[in-house]
Amino acid sequence: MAHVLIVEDEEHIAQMIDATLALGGHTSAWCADGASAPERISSGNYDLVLLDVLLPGLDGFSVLEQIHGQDIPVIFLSAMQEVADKVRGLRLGAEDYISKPFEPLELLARIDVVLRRRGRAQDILEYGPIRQDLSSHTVTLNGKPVQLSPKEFDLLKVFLQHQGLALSREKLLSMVWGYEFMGESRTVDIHVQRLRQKLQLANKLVTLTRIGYRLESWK
Amino acid sequence: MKLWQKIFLSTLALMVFSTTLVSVLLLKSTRDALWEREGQRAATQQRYLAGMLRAGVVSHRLQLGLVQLEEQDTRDAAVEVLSQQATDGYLMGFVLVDDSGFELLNNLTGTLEDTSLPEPPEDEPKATVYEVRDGGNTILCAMPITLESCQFRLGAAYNVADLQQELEEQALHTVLLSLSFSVLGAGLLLLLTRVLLRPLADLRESAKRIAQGSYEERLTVHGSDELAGLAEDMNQLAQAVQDRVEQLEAVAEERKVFIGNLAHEMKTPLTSILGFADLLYLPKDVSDSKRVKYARVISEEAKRLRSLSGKLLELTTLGSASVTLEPAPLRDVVEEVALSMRPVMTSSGITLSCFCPACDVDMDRELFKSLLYNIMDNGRKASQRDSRIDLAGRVEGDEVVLLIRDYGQGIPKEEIAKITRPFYMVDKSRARKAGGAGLGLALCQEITAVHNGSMGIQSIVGEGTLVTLRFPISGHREEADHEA
Repeated sequence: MAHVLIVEDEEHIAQMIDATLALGGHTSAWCADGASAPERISSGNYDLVLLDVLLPGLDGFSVLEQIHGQDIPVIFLSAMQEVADKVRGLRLGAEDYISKPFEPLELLARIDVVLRRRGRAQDILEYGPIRQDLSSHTVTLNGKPVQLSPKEFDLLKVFLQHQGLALSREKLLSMVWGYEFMGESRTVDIHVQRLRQKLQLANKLVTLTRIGYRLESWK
Repeated sequence: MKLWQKIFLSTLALMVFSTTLVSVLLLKSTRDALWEREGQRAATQQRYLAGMLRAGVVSHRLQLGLVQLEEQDTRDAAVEVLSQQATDGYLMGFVLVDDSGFELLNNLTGTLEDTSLPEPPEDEPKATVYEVRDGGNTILCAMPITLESCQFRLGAAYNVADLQQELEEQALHTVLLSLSFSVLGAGLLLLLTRVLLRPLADLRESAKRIAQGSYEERLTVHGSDELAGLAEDMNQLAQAVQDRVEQLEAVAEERKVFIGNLAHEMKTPLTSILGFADLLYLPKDVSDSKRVKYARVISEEAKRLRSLSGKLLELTTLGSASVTLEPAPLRDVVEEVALSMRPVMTSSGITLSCFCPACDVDMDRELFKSLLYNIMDNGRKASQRDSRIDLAGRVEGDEVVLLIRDYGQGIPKEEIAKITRPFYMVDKSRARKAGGAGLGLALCQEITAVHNGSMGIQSIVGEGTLVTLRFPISGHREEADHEA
């Protein structure tokens, strides 16, 4: 998975991002000020940079300007959520702009999108006998192909990408069906039920009372 | 109706009225004089006629060789003489009447409608009188005449048609002249009114523009008339409006910056809290060490939010000016603060020394203590271990001066002006670690202002900071007033 540089002056936020990245299977390093960030980015072998905007020494926009020309994706993380700031960040060549406060899963999802765009994400997701190929859009169980509807495919992808994590029905709705989808959480239950049948996940894809679902880690 | 129309119309009416009046009066006096002259001329002619008649009658008597003519003979002679008298373009004819009113001769019948002679006034029966007849074309003159002791009245008509015509022409001229003068005057007046009132239209245009929001608009002032005065007043008005608007805009901008900063300051702890809370429940198993660490961060960040909201509340309360000040002994208050700060100072390895003169200051005790606490705590945060903080006070006139000195890292010169701004932090990460939200000195500034005092900060990097507080001594002013 990816090796990420966190440029963030708030120690607690850096720790939180570090723990979040670890959940997604990424490794990370921490840089606490803007002045030394360009040096760190150039010298280290990072797949991605998470960059705060208000930094001591040198602000995030200037850091991005200094590393201009290096082929490394940058995502801004900032409490400044004025449209002008976002536009400025994206114009400078950032891949994304995430406003604080954000949820860990949202951060992971956006990182995944950026890595995929850069071809640095995995295209094959595996879970025991299940193998999901995102590029050819196929799923096999013990080597035999399994037919899944598009939504079932997306739902499986979310579960495989967040193994061992509790996912609420609302979260699943927004991640698979999109934020605009006004459907009921029953929809989620039906799709989960089908996944369990088609992929023999009855014991692994557990229901968490009043919360949602979790795909247990494969051991 | 527009002002220029009102001024124009009323002045025009006045002008036409006065020219007409003057020309009518002039015309009338000329006419009276002319008629008077014409009447005199007729009277002279009449007397000549009378003399001729008398001479004719006398010569008739002398021819007859008589001393006295009989009444009837006199009459006949008079009629004869008059009949022989030729008439011309001026003298139109005669009327002779005896004293009983009987017409002896009248060759005016057919020429003149009314041939009755004008009567003389009663107090002057002998006067020559005349009357204008036939619509002003004729003067009929009458005079008494005594011929051979017989009384007659002789009348004669004179043609004055050319005079009448002349008068009519003159009247026509006058009317035409006054009309053309009026038209000319009206034109000039119109021009003058428009020119004089032009600045008024400009004023209006500018006032409209100012009202529509271009507050920097100013009127150009020409001359020193009322309009120029009005323009000056409007300029002052616009200036006042502009000042006020700028002031309001500055306040709004300040508030916007404050709220923006506040949002930022709140989001930072919120990000950690939300993130770690999610991290606590998302995975199936969280190790004990992680759980404790995450919970500790959440708790710390929540405390930061609490302290931020507390300070915000204090700042808002101070702004609403609902603070009551009462005299309190300064030395006691300083000692209370020192006492409550000693444990923290000791644990940071800092020696605190206090000296304060005995005097009373009007204060809100809790706010005042919070002020001293904030400043001393700032000193503590800036200091290394085994350092010291000194508080010294002295009385200067009607003021008490408190000096709080630390020997810590100091503040860079270019930062000193900014450090009392809300949310301003010289070293953000250090301040955050120490639990600051950047509101302390802004709060101190407000508290000092509420106590009618002042706060000054001097600092040298690496040598420390000196905060100077000045407050009026309680009751001092009243005493000074008594002495005065």
